[in-house]
Amino acid sequence: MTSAADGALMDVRDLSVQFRARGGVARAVDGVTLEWRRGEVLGVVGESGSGKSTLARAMLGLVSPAAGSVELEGRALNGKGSLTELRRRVQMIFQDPYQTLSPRQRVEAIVTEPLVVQGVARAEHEARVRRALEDVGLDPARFLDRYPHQLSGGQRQRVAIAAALVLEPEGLICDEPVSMLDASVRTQILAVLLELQRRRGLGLLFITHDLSLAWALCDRIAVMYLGRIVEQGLATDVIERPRHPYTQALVTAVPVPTAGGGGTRELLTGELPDATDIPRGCRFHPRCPRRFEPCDQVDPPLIPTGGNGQVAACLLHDPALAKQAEAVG
Amino acid sequence: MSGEQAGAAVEVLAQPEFRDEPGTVRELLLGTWRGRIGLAVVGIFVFMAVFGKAIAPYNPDASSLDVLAPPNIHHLLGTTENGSDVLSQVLVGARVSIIVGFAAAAISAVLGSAVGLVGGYFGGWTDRGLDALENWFLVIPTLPLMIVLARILSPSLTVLIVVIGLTSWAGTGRIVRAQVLTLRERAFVERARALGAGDGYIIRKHILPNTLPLIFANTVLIVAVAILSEAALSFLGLGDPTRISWGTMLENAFESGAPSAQAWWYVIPPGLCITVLVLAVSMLGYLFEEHVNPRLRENR
Amino acid sequence: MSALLEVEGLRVTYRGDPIVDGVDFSLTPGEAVGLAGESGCGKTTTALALMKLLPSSLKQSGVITLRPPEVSEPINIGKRTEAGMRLVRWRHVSLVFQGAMNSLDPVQRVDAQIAEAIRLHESVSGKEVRERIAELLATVGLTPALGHRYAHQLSGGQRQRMMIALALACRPSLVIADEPTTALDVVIQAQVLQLLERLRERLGLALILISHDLGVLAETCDRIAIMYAGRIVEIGQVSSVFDAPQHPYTKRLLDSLPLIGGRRGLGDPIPGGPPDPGEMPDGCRFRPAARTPPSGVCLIRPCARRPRATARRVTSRPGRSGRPPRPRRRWAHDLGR
Repeated sequence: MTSAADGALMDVRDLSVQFRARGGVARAVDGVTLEWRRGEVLGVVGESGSGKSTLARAMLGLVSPAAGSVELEGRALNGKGSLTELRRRVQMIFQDPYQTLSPRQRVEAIVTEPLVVQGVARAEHEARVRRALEDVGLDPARFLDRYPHQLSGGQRQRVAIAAALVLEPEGLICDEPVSMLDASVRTQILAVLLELQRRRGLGLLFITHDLSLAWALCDRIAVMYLGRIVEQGLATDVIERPRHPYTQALVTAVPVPTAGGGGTRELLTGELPDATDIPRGCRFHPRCPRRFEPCDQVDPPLIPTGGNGQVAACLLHDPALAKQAEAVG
Repeated sequence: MSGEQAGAAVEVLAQPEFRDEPGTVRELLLGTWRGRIGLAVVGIFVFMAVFGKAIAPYNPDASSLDVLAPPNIHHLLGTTENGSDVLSQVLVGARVSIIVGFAAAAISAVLGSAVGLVGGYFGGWTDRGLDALENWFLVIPTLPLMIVLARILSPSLTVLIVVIGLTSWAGTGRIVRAQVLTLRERAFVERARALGAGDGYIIRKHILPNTLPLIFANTVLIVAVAILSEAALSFLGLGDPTRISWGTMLENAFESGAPSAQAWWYVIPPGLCITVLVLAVSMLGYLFEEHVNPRLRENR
Repeated sequence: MSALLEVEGLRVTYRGDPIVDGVDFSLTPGEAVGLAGESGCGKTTTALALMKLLPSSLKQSGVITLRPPEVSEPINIGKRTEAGMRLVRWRHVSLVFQGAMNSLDPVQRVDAQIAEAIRLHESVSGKEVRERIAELLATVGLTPALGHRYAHQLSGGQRQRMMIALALACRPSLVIADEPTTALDVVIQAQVLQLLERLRERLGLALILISHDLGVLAETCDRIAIMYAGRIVEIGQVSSVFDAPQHPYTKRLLDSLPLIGGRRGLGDPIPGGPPDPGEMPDGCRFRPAARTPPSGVCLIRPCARRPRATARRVTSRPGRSGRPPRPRRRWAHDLGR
């Protein structure tokens, strides 16, 4: 957990990504503005259907946005040249370690591939590959010649991380990197990632549905619901003092592994609506236990609340509506 | 993170020995009875195809006065209606079957894979067009089509190969396309894209290698189909009249009334050869499929 | 009260390698026991063994006795043939599988599948079947209209509820749930867990809950058993195990879990992974991974389980069923420390 160094690594401004789906147009990402600072561990938390994975892909240029922009250190991403530079400086780790490596490639080929694709001089390949493997805790002598099917889940994920590191990026987007791994292996992999962040000053964008992980690792957290960021702030603030009803429900829903379990919990009714049919007004209002009158008409922006830069997209914190909000409690 | 954790954080893994996965091609081929028998039989026939002419006791076209003689000391498998040696004909005839079988299957594989790869990967209108083409070829009854084509074009080995290849590629194309569709979405392809790899690179280095086992397994089965088709076409008189093949042997046998003359030595050897070769190739084909399948479902 | 389920010396081997290596535990009627552990520890295998659903390549041995309240004679599952088991499965003990999408028949409407389960065990009229189904669906919070759909037309949470309804179709006294909420979002998971708790209260169901998520188990279960390499290394009341774990593996496991509101950063990782069944170390299974250096004992044989007489803690959580929690002694491996 380092203090954020100077300036933003990536800036997302009002990004929208849409897909054509059976029920119409799915607004997977619906106006997201996010700043990822250099060297920081930023968590993007949300359930499936929240749009967090789509957001990550849009940030890497893997899907084209319908509106809005993504900037890398102030420069907008458009056109091939900027995309290539982006891919050299920001890399991605995927969720499923059993799918993330091509079964027909040895570890050496897998970790060398990024260098080949990005046109790095051949003479440098071997040294960089070795260093990347060592940095993730894999002995090159033993692992270079292996095929993925000979490796365990944790080892495969390490190989994937090594392949991402070999280009010496400044940021690593991690899409649920440990959700498919066992508890003991999880801690190992997360330790690898955090160590890299510390040693190389790498920024980490952590996408996860696991709030306890986000609590343990992230500097700042953004909570997503149905394509929008509904709360954002320091990790401790967002989780200990959540301001948005969705975040509150999310935090209390997490089963706590202690005797006695968690405290009282606010159970949400219903299920996540489809991205093709986003509710009018505040998109959370149909399930919100604290909704009040304006909630089905006004789509709240991110409103500052609680200091430390914490913001929540909830009308309860709109100073203009303070009186009405009080009545709700 | 406290300093104490930094050193312990990234430990180099102590690992047990790696186990080699069972079910590699070599193990399947050499380790199972099916594999060994299949290989042996196909090997024998390939040997016959290559050296048949050299080891045949007689010139297979040479006629003699010893017409339709049952097996005897001079002619181990008897003679044809022209007095030619059946054994020699069988040995030489292997060449046609093997050549046509493998060549036609190769054409089918290349054509099918190309169409499947391009259509599956690029999708959209390309895919729809190619898919329609595939459907067309799939739906048309193959034997009648072969007969018509062989009739229109003057019969020769090349024509036979082309005809069989053209009528059997669609099946491979279908299978390849399905495989490419799933591969396209796999995380390692997405990872390659995230690196900035272009379509050509991804197809070459990721899609194709992961599809090759499937193509191979399917092609081996097509070899069996091709051999049978050649025999059928030759039997119907549409084969190359200048070459001896098992199919033409059967054709001649039936035309000269061998069955009613009870000349079993003329009919059974070529028929048996066709059957045994096709069976052996099919056995190998299924073996390869077995090798491919657990890998395809390589999801823990 | 006699035990509903008693398991003694359960062993499952695959080609001679132990997958489950001597598991003992028991269950009283209406009790919820959690089975925790990482993948490969043998918990799913144990569950399947209890219902004799293991594939033929896995050999099972040991005594499993089931005493459903409405049956006079105890059922010796270990001795039952396949035909005998068919009378037991679903009627007295049922299973909620991992991954509902794979367990529901994709080409059959879900209510038809429930009807099928009922008809396999009881001869009932069509009308009665329909009524039972409607009642079951209502119990899990679904409408009959949803029952008329196909599996792929339901959301993840609805499918899981459907699996629970299916498991309750013949009114068993014991339900084994194998990772019932793993694939679900945390909010839906909370809903399903609440449903399970309500069902236990209303129907007096006993539950064996299998999960790698210790939080889920802490919430739902009365007792919890931690498995490692095919053995139960610690078993006891949830409160005791979580507050004062005795076995080093349990300690490391609990320590490695990030806790909301607790310490930030990571705990010490447990090095390596569970041993391969084909290469079980001699002596204590956990020795290679334990942090504390092994004593001479550890190298020779695994520790026998000894009860640890500790203060009998009586904890009750608000909202739990009205039964007073039964104080129990805890069992734990003892390292002589």
